[in-house]
Amino acid sequence: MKSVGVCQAKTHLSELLDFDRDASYDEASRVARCFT
Amino acid sequence: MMYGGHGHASGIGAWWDAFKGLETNDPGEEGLVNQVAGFDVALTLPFRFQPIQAYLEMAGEDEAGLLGSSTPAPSKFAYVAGVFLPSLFGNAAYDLRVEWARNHWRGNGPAWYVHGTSGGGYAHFYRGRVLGHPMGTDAQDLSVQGHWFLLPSTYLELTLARTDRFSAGPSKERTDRGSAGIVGWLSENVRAEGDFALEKVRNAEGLPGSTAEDASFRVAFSYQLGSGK
Repeated sequence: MKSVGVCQAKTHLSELLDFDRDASYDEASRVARCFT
Repeated sequence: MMYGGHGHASGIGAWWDAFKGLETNDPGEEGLVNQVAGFDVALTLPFRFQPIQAYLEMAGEDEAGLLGSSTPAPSKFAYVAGVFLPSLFGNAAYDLRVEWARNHWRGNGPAWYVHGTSGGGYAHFYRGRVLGHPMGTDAQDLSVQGHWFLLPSTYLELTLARTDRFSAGPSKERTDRGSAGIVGWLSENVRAEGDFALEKVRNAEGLPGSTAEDASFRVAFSYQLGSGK
């Protein structure tokens, strides 16, 4: 589980383009969005 | 290509007739068919600071001779075009989309999501709801939508949209709509959604001078079985 303020992995462009906003919690959480 | 269904011919022979598109669109004929032909293209520019994706989808709902010739070609086109910024200025917590859609065609009236010869059977409608762009038939829509991801799974959504309907009545109906919403997870299985929208309509139902205003909210919960892993 990712937490705000921690950038755990590089965010890949393909992940952002393919992101399904109706994705499950686990699927959505796999997308790294580097919160700084 | 839509064919078959209750009261219509089906199977390979009917499929071939539908594919050829010949002698299939007159009322009373068994082999009714509705054909739509089009394409889509997307261009992704993976700039590191500001990636951009532009896209276009277009399809014709009717057939006409190409440039006045006898060569059959799609006509009465509908378009969806947009620009999607999957992150904003290098920050993947934000995204933005601008999208334009139009199926209004030179004052010809409704061409999309209608199909008279099948009695509406192939009109892309199900229980009164359009199975297509929510703007409906003979319309144009421009929208701007942004997201702010508070967590990878949780986001705020803001949307502004203007929809014109050209065949709602004697005058063009114009609807301006703004909405704000949030999607989040109360647990790893329970998803919660809520949104609030304001809407203002000019020439409501196409009646000149008629206005309407509306405010609405929606709350939804859904439960996901299993862990999803």
